[in-house]
Amino acid sequence: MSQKVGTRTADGISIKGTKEGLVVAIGEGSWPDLVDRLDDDLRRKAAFFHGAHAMVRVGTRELGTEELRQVQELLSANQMQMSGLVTSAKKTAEAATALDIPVARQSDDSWPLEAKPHHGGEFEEALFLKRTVRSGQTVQHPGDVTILGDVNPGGQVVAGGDVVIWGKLRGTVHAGAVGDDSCLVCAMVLAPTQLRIGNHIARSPEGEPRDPGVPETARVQGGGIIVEPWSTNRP
Amino acid sequence: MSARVITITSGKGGVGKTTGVANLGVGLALEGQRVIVLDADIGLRNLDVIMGLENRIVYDVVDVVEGNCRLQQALIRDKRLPELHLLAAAQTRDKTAVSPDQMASLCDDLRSECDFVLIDSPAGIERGFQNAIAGADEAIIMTTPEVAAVRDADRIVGLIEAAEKGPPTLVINRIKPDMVKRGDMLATEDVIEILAIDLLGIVPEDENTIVAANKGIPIALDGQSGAAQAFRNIAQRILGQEVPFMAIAAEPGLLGRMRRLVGR
Repeated sequence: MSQKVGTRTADGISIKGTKEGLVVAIGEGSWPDLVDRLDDDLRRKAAFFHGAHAMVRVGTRELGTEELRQVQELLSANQMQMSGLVTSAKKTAEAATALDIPVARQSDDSWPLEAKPHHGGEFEEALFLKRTVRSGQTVQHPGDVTILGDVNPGGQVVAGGDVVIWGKLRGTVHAGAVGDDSCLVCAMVLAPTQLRIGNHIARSPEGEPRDPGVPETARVQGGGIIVEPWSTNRP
Repeated sequence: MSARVITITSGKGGVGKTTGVANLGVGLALEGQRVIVLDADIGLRNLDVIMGLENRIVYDVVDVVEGNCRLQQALIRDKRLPELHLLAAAQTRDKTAVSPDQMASLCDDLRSECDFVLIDSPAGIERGFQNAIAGADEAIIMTTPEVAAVRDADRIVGLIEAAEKGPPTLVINRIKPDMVKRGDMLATEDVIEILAIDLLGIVPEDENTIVAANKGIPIALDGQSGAAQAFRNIAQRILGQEVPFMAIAAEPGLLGRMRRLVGR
């Protein structure tokens, strides 16, 4: 996060270009004012930001799906896309996942967030989600991901770090998505459609869905992905 | 008096949504409820055919939305059940003829006219589906015990949760008892296990359903067969009555259980 281009206004809207891409931060103030201000800012710089994917940071603010849709619409009206949302508010995170917006959590006291090292890279904190990841839904997060619920066939989890599913994994998971082969995937029932760790891909054997009856861990060993019972592979 | 507005949807086509809407409409009307069934499948209307009301359509849902007629004029009273009404889809237009906002306000207008509005959603997740859920208070997901149908149903459950309609309930349609017994079909518990929503009803595969639909007589009207009873049971459950689930080979037989075990 070295070079930063952009502007900060006094009204709680900041639009910055960073090495990782465009970051739109929404700070203090009343929501309607902020929306107006964001609209103005985006419009004025529309030509400059055209086609950009923006990460939206909303800090501790509690937002529902309506408000998040407003932001999405403002961005798309200016030919931009919301690539993800950074928040520390549970309600906001839930609303965003409901809209299929990738969410990153941040702790309350560090806004704007500084990246923390993880597996040698620069990542956000872990993401904890208490829901079923259904067909067509994607959970995307630069750090570790824990899901209390199932990942159904057609659902997808992409994490920069480890992935722990406290439930049945029957969808697709990519751990260490930035190429980190040291990551793990654990699940109560590990029966993914496809499993990726770092640069490796594995799929479940054809035929009946597997259910070994014990929690399992998948990791990379000897150039491939291996699966072992959790009990034999505690870190 | 304000009606409950319920959308019946599935994602995948051909699972029996339209037949389900017709029969649940009949089931609720038999319980003395005033029901309007609304066909939201604009451009591919079927509900009128299955209900045998095709030849009575003068105005349709697009006419109402565009103000070509009054709402009352477009409501077609069922020839058998005076409590049951149909608001037909337009056949000559497509899904873009109506917007989700217009559907939502139409549903609000219908609320004062009846006890239940049942909306027949088109297949898919696009505009037609968005229209169908825009005005709904709740949703019933219909699926068949097939992997592809369940996959699509799962996607729809996610979209309905995102639209903040509350947790939908589930109807599993066209269960073939013989296949379940042999372990060749997903069992009810397998479907619920994936979708993780409450079961509202199970309906057996029944040839009489197709015969009745072709004649324009919804089977729940007077049929004694399994499907007819199943639809009437679901209607009673919608009204909050406790009705036990039918025993449609809910459990795989011994052979089926063994095969399932060995398969794993």
